[in-house]
Amino acid sequence: MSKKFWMTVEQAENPDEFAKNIPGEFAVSGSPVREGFEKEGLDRRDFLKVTGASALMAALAGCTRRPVQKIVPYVTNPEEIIPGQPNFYASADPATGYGLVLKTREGRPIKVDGNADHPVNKGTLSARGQAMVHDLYDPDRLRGPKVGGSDGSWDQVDAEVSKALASSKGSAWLLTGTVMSPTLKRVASEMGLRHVMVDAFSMDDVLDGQAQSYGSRVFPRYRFDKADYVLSLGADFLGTWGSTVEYTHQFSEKRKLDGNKISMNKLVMFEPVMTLTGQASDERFSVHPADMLTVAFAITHEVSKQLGRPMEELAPFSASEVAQKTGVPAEAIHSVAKELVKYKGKGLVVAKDYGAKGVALQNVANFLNSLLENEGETIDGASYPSNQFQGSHSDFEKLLNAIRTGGVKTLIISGVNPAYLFADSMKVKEALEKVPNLVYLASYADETAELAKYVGAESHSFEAWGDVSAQKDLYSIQQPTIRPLWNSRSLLECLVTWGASSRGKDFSPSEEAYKELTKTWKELHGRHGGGKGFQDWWDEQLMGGVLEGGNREGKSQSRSYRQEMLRAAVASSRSVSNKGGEAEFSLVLTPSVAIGDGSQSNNAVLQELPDPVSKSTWGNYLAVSPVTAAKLGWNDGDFVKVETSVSSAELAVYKQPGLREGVVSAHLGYGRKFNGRVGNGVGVSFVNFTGSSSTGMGTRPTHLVGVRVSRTRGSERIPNTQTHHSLEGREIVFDTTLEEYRKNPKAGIVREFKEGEGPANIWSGFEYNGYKWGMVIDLNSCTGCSACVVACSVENNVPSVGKDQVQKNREMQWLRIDRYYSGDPANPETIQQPMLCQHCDNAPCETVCPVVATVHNDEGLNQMIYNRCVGTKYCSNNCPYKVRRFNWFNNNGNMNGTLEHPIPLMMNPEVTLRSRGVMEKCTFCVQRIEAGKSLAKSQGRRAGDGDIRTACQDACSADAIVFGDTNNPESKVSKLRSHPRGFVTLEEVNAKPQITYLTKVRNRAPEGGEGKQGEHHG
Amino acid sequence: MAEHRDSHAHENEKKLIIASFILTVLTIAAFGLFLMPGRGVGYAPAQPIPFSHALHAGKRKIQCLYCHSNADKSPKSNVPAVAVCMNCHRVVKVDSPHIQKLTEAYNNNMPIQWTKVHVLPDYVYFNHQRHIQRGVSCETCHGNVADMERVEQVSPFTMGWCVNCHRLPENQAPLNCNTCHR
Repeated sequence: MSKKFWMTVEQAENPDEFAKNIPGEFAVSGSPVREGFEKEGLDRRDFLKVTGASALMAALAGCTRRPVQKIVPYVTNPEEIIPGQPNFYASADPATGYGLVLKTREGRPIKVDGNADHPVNKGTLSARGQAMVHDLYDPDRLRGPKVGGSDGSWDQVDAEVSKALASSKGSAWLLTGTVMSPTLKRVASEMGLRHVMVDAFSMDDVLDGQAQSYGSRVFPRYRFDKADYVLSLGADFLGTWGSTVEYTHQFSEKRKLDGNKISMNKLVMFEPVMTLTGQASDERFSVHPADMLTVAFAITHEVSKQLGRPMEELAPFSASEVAQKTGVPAEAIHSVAKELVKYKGKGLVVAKDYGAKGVALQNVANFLNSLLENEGETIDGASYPSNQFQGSHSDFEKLLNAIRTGGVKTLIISGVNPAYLFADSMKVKEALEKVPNLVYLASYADETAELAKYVGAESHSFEAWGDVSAQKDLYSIQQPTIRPLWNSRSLLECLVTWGASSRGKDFSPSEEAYKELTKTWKELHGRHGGGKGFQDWWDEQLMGGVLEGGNREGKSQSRSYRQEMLRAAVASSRSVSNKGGEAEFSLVLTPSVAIGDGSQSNNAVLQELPDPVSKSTWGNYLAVSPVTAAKLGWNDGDFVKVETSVSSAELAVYKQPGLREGVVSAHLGYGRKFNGRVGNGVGVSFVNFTGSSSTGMGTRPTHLVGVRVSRTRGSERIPNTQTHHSLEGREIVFDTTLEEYRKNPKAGIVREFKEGEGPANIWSGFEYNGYKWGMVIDLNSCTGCSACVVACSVENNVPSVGKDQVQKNREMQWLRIDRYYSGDPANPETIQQPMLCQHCDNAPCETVCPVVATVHNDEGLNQMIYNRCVGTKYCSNNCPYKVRRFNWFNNNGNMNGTLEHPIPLMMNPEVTLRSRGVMEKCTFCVQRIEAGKSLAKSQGRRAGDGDIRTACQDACSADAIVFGDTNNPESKVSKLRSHPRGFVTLEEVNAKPQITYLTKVRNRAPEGGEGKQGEHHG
Repeated sequence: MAEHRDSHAHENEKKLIIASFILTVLTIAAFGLFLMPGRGVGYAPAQPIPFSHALHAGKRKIQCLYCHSNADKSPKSNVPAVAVCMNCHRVVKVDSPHIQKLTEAYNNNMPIQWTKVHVLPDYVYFNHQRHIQRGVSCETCHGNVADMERVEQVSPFTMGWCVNCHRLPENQAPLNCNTCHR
């Protein structure tokens, strides 16, 4: 009997009923033509219009040629451009600190990936990073400066702002997000600006905790690559907390079970809501958000006892008492403590408290790390700490107070949208309105722009020079790859202009900014130049993208913990942890993987990216626990009203397995009013709910108690993609435990029949004499971060279709990540399975196409020929994996040229734009295969590993996707395919898919074995 | 009410079927004319500057790759940048009104808009580099350009015409759809 996996709570409760009720692939969608007619009916006039138009077309076509096309060559061909060939440029992302490689075609950036040489992100980006190209070409971006709400000129802005700055010496402030650019910081301080940094999702708790525990306010470099054991007390470090791409790399590297490797790291997660990290964990315990600190004390108490140094002040937090109070089993606390001690020096504790006790919790986590001698081993707070989070809410408070007392004459804001992010709870808007000269530099006419006297259009980071230092002694140049599309400027360009003592006729902001940049780098050249001439060295830095000093791989300097901070934390916990009344809920507000702080919410690819946890798109929804929902009779999509004493919101609920009972949660970053045509009005804003910072020791609590949730009228179909392409409950994923895997490497895999048997084969097979393409996906590495989904859409011009279309199952993503739960809905285990065209050798789709539009090629690819497709959809109907997507509309507007400028510039010219009525699906990035083969052929060799990488493979921080030539026995993909963990999905169908999955292995005690702590109920 | 809607929908469907039938017939007829095989053969549009291949490539024997320098480096061949013309025409035939037009374009940094002769649909990805490296001469597809005063399309550039060559065993050319369609 195999294990049962389920996708929704309904399926877990009643799988048969679920299978019966799930709509067929096209049942919800029907036909858009009929939809229109049902609404209005086709009257006689429309009938004539349709036929008349076609007659006219026929008449015209009979006597005209195809339209005349022009060829417009350069006047002087730029040296580096060969039309038709891409160029690659190293750069850096000023927002995250990650190193970038931009692919440009004829001077247009069309794809961005990580820089493989960059020690932080090692070649990959997050979903949001992958989507940056779409931000660049967003037609809703600000196209020029505005003064007092109407279009102005930079000359006017420059003159007036310079004057304002000159007259407000000492009372001119600069407000930004975290700035990692040494040049920008220097220029700001040389101008005498008082620089305040504030982060949308503040890491103040970590920074202040570090300051209290160790004496300096730094964001440490967490080293998951050194940690065999990770305890996370609420920190979603794979999804939304900290330097996620870096952590995903390191964490997944420690989970690889390639070759004969039989050991891997272990992740234990305590959290109130379900997060990406919780889904990836080996053991997960749901904790009420108000209890996090108490649980941390209990673990610390146990650890100190086991180390023979019991802490007296922690005596009230014995495992049994805490278990009784919080519902976390005492055995769990014992075993976590035991393992932490076992992995002394090789463990790592990270923490995040959603409430007001963030700093206290950090102090406890720091104490644990120091006590267990992890400090210096897996945490680097002294040698090469991170610069990625520097924001300070207390500084921001100081700025607001200075405004209130009239101490701010001129305020320049860039990179942060305070009027949206910090909203009314902090009276930010009122304060900003009081600033005499409010200068705002932004990409959109957003909430803060409404208040600003001067609004400058901000250049995208792909359009301007800059530099980034993500960690100590680590520098990258931010290199522009396109001239600004609009009349925009970067913050550095603005500052050098406004700070210039005199501006002649030839004054160029971008040249001045470049001069300041080279000034910084000349200084770096002095330290790191190694005797090379500056120009040569500079060119090298531009090309390589990474300037690194010191050795970041070795052991770090260890710091000593200030013991009194633990006592202080204990004291702070004495204030009773309030969970609210009986009928009230705790509301936890979290960032989402796709939308984050909402700054990219006008990006349709991100709006349409299914949230990796809930799989919902286009908005935020209130997650409630399945138990609560059942008790109150709520169903997915029912509207409810969420109320606190300060604010209220109305939105739809959905049942989130693993969510703590009595807790509801929702994503921040939604409900933008002044953003653009895509982002406006999507979801509900919860920023007014977030507490005032004055209560939270510099942090902004996103856990609120005493929240009332009541049912209002009506409901909607949540645009949730998980059930759209249902495989009718067939066995498609397998998992096992590390212990079982050690006994039997094939553990967990359930095969319906023996090798060589199976159903009859109606295909005679193909011969593959040259290349044969295949893929391996390691389910044990995949965290579900969804960067691959965005990368695929950007690479392959996959359109976004909008909320109403997703509600009708018409999303177009070629690659989806299926999320399977197993076990108790109160705290299930999760498997993430990237699902894309399997390029079956015996492809069921090929046999049913009446026009041979989908056929096999001699390299094993299942080809989809758009210009031959007539849209019968038979192929999709016959696909057991449900990976084909049908164009119900001209989503890319290609037939009638409806794409708005500059969107056409964003398209990958190597991939056909599909029109209405055409089926499409994953091609294994055939344009990259052809390019890779062509390059190898020109060099007279066979394409090998690394010549051809699919977009999803390039995007994967976990290195879970391996693509290559399976006819080459030496290729990585060939070796991985024969790994005992390998299985193909729906083997019994005998489609012979060319994607091999490797089983998920959990590092926990096997089911039924001793220590069932992983199976915590309730 | 439900009945009424049913009959209404039925009516609509009938109308729809007739409309789509007429539409289909006419569309097929239109596209048939539009895409008839060999339609483009003989197409020789006038160019903004009456550049003569017969003179440059024929009489003066300038190599194709001197101007179309990317044909062996990229899937896309190129029409030369104005600067390439100026390599010679800074000194050659500077009195000709056409060369003066060229010089003016160069001096004003204005590109010249040539009319495209050989047009492939957007869903076809032809690769010049691969064909040239395989030793296929330019003339095989483009005809004897060295004799043409004004460039003219001599091959039909239809799929059947492409595939006929790819099918020949001695060419060992791929016949996968993906070779040209992505």
